[in-house]
Amino acid sequence: MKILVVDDEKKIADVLAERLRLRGFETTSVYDGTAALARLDREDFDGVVLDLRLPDIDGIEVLRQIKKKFPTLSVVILSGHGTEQDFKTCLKLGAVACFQKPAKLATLETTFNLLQTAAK
Amino acid sequence: MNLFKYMVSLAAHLKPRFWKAGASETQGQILFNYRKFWLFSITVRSLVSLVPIAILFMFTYMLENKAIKNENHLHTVRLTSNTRRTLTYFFEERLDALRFIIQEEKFETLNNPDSLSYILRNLQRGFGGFIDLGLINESGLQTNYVGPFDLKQRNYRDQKWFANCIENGSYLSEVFLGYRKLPHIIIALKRAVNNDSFYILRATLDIKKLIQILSSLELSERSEAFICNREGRLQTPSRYYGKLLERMDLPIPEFSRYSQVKEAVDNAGSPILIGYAYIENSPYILMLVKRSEEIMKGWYSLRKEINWIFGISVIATLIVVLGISTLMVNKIFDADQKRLRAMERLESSGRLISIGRLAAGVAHEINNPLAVIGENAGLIDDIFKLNKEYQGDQQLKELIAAVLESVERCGEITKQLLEFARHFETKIEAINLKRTISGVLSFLRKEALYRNIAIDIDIPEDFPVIYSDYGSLQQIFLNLINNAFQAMDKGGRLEIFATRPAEGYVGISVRDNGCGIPEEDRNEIFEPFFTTKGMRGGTGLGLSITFGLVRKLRGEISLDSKIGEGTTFTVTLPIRYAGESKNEALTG
Repeated sequence: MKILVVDDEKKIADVLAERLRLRGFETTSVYDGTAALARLDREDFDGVVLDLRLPDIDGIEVLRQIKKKFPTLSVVILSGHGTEQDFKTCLKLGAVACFQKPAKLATLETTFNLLQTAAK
Repeated sequence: MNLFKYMVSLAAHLKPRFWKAGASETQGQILFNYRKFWLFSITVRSLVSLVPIAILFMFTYMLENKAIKNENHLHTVRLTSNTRRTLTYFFEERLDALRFIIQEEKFETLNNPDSLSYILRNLQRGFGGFIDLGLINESGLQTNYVGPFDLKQRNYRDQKWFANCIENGSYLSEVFLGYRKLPHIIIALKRAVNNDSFYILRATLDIKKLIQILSSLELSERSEAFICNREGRLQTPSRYYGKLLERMDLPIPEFSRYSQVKEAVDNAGSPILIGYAYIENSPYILMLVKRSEEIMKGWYSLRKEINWIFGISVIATLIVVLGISTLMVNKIFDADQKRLRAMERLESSGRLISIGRLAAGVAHEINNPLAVIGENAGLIDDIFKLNKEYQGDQQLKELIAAVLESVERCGEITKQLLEFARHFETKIEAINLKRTISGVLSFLRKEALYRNIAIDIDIPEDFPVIYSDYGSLQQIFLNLINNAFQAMDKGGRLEIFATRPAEGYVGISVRDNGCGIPEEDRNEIFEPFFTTKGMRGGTGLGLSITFGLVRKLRGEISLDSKIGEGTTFTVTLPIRYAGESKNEALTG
C-alpha cells in the first residue's frame, strides 16, 4: 500500500513516513500542499495522511482538490489545530477519518490496514 | 383583613432594604452611602413640605385668633352700648315721669296724702320699680309721704342729696341702704315757686328693675353684667367680683364718653374682657365682664380641629416622604446590586472565556511539538523492537515507554482543553430531563454500587420537557454526578432533584453529602485546571467544561456548599433554547 504523508513539520512527516514504512507501507513524505498535489499527479497512491495547517494551501482546500481529482483516494486527516468544525467539514468532503495530534501510530496503522482489507 | 395586608405590604415598601448594606459591607463595595442619602432625602423633603404647612397653619392660627377676638370685642361693645342706652332710658323715663307729675299737679294735690298715693299707684302700674313718693319743702321737711315706711315729717335738710338737688334741680342717687336698710335709689326733682321758694318731689326706686334689665342680657355662664358707681362700689349684685355696695374686685375703668372694651386680669389671674360704659347724668358705670376662656371657647374647639388637621397632614406628609425616599433609595440600591452582580458575573464568565481562549491557543500550539516528540519516540521504540542490538535492553524500552505515555497524557490534556473552549454545534430537540439523567446514571450504576452510594432522583413526572442539546446535557450531568461521586466516601448519598426557579426555566440540582468545597475555592472552581482531587488524578477541566456547556445552553450553574455537609450544584436551563449563546466567540 502506497501512502503519501503531508505535513508542514518535516520532522513529523519524515518520522511518520519512516514508521509506516517499518510497518510495511510504502511511503513518501512532502511538506506542503502544492508538492502533495504535484506528487499525486505524478504517482499513484492508495492513501494520504494530511495535516490541515500547511504553509501554502489550507489543508481543507488540498483535501477538496484531492477528492476532486481522485475521488476514490483514502485521505486520513491528522491535525494539531483542527477544530471539531474542521473535522466535520473534512468528513463531509470525503476524508476517511480525522485524528487529533498527537495520535498513536497504532490508530493510523489500524485505519490503513482496514482500508487495505476493504480494498481487496 | 385586606387593609391589614395592605398595611403590611406598605410597611414592606417603607422598609429600607439597603440599611445593612451601608454598614456591614466588608468588601468595600459601597457604591453609595445609602443611609446618608436616605436621611438626606427625608430631611430635605420633609423640610420642603412641612415648612410651608407649618407657616400656613401658623397664619391660620393667628388670623383666626384675631378674628375671633375682634368679633368678641365688637360684640361686647355693642352689647355694652345697648345696655347703656337701656339704662339711661330707664333713669330718664322715671325722671321724666316725676317731671310730668311735678309740672302737672298743683302743690296742694301733691301735699294731699290721698292724691299722692293715687299718683304712686299710677306710677307703680305704669313704670314699676317705684317704692314710695314724698314731698319735701324748702326746709328739708317731708311734708307728705306715701309708701311702705313711716317717713312723714322726716327732715332731709342735712343730707347731701338735698343740697345737690337744690343746686342742680334734679338728683339721681347711688344705691344705698338708708334708714330702711334696703338697697334703693333716690330720684328727686325740684320745682321752684316764685323766686326763692321751692319744693322737691322725691321717689325711691327698687333696684330689682335694674337687676332685671341686667340679667335679661343673654350672657354665658361665667360672664356677667353689673353696675358700680364711680368709686367702684357695686350697685347691683355680682356673682364673682364682690359684695353689694362694697368695692368690686376689678379696677375702675377710666372715664370715656363711649362704650369701651378692654382686656384685663381678674384677682385669680385669669384673663377677662371688660365692656364698660359711663351712664350719662348718673353716678353709674355699667360693667360687662366676660371670661376670656369662655369667649375663646369657640376658638379652642376650632384650634383643636386645626391641630388635628395639622397633625394628620404632617403625619401623611411624613409617611409619603418616608415612602418616596425609601422607594427611591431602594430602587437605586436594587439597581446597584443588580449592576454589582452583573459585573461580578460578567467578570467571572469573561475571565473564563479568556482563559478558554488561552487554553485553546496553548493546546493547539503544543499539539505539534507533542506530535514530533511522540512520533520520534515512537520511531525509537520501533527501532528498538526491530533491531536485535537493543531488543534485550529493558531499561531503554522502559524509558521510551515512559516518554510515550507522557506524550499520550499530554495529548489527553490538550484534547480536554480544546473541549473546554470548543464551540459545539448544538442540536436542539425535545428532552425529558428525567430520562436523560437516568441514561447518564446507567453509566455510573456500577461505580455507585461498588462504592455503596445511594442515589435518589426526585423529578416529577409532569416536569416540563425542555428544548436543548442532548449531548451537552449528557456531558453536563455526567460531569456533575462524577464530581459528586469524587467528593463522597463510601456509603454517601446522592440526590438529584428538580426545581422551578423562574417562569420559563427549569432547575436540576445535584446534591452530595461529601466533603464540601471551602469558601475560598468556590470562586475558582469553574476555572480550568482547578482541582481538589490533587494526587488522585483528574485534569481539573471537568467543571470548566460543564460551565462552558451550561453557558452554551444559555443556562446558569451555581453551587451551594457547606464544609463537611456536602455540595449542591444547580443547573438552571431555559425551557426553550433560543438562538446562539453569548459565548459563541469561544471557538477554538
